[in-house]
Amino acid sequence: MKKGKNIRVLIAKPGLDGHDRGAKVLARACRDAGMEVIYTGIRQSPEQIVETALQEDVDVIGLSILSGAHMSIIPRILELLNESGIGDIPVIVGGIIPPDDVEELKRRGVKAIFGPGSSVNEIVEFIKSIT
Amino acid sequence: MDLVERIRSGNKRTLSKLITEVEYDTETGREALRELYKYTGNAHVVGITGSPGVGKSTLVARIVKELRKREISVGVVAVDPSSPFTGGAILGDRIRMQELACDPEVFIRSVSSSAGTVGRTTKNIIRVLDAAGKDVIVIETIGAGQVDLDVLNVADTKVIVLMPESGDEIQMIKAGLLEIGDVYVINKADLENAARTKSQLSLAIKERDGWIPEIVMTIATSGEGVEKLVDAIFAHKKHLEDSSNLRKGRLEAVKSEVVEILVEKLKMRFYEKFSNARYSDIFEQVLDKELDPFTAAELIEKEEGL
Ligand SMILES: Nc1nc2c(ncn2[C@@H]2O[C@H](COP(=O)(O)OP(=O)(O)OP(=O)(O)O)[C@@H](O)[C@H]2O)c(=O)[nH]1
Ligand SMILES: [Mg+2]
Repeated sequence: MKKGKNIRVLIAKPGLDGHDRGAKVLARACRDAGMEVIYTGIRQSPEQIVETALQEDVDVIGLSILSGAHMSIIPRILELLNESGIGDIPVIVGGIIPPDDVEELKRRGVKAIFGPGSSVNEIVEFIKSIT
Repeated sequence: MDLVERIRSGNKRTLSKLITEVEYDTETGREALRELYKYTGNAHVVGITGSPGVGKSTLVARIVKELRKREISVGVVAVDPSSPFTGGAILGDRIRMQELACDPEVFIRSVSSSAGTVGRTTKNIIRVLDAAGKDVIVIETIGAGQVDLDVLNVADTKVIVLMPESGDEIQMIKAGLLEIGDVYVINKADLENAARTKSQLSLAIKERDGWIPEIVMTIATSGEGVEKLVDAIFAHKKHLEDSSNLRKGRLEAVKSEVVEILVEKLKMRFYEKFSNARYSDIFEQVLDKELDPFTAAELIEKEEGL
């Protein structure tokens, strides 16, 4: 990333559930750490998420997912990112994801997965470390 | 393909990356603006402003939808305030616009107003979108303070969004926005007092340069009135084109931009000059009350032959 540039993070909630508390808490923590947060809200399709990342030139994509559909949604997002030529943007995921799936998602390119026990500080620090 | 061709052919990744360069006023960004400049000036720029929560983003989404129905391509720049301390910001206008995210003829970009130069930044982002072939460019900004006026001033058509009010006097009168709007919107017309606010507003606004600002009632959540609003925007565009005011307004803008660039350059040159020790005596004398600042400036003026 360029020196003096603010980190831009896209925080999005794919899937059908409407619980965005966690995503909002993370959005605020990122803002307080000096980042520009593009917040798109709930029920975002993989297409919407990837188009937004493309148009907003973000440095990181943070996905909050609880619905259990992660194994279909996240790989689809990774695939679309590659197709759009922005496969280099790191993707991190927050949510409840079984250990086997964690391994599989990481193998497919997800940078990090934060379970329910993670603190927002930890996530903010991680974002800083990869941008 | 070179950069200009990629921008002109609608490559979104190039467009998006270039907007970042322009936002940070980098060498790359300036170089691209020089090359793209001759392709700008075709888009109609619409500024949407109003107090927090009046429904600007919801309305912008509806306006864009209506424009798309008319097969007009659109760029959106959503400016949100940022913390002056951390520079951080939550750019949330997009939430209401995500339905448009995947339309290939729509490009939406969120900008934080961290720098005091957001007016100039917005102007240059608009140029990039303009050169990329967008027919209409919509800017959303909160209508408060100098920063927002700077942003709004780059618009050809200025739309002021209000909502029904119960008081005797419309809030916006205080904010000075009643002198600059070309189109006024009373959004949330489904709420009480809408008609009353409209009649108060119509008493307060006046004809300017042969144009009487139009007042449109909308319900952004349902889309009611938005077609009329878009018609009013185009009526104003036509007025500008017919009355040669468009050229006049843009000429003024060009003049102040070139002067601003010059002033900035001269300023830099002077700071460089004064950073050497040449005038340190004079500054010391001012500090010790042997000279006043005005006389000091005159002395330097003479010395420099200004
Ligand atoms: N009743 C009613 N509510 C509306 C209308 N238009 C927008 N809203 C609601 O007003 C709230 C704010 O809408 P936004 O579009 O985010 O307003 P905004 O002016 O962009 O807000 P900021 O960007 O935060 O300044 C949302 O809850 C909308 O659903 C309307 O016509 N009627
Ligand atoms: Mg808004």
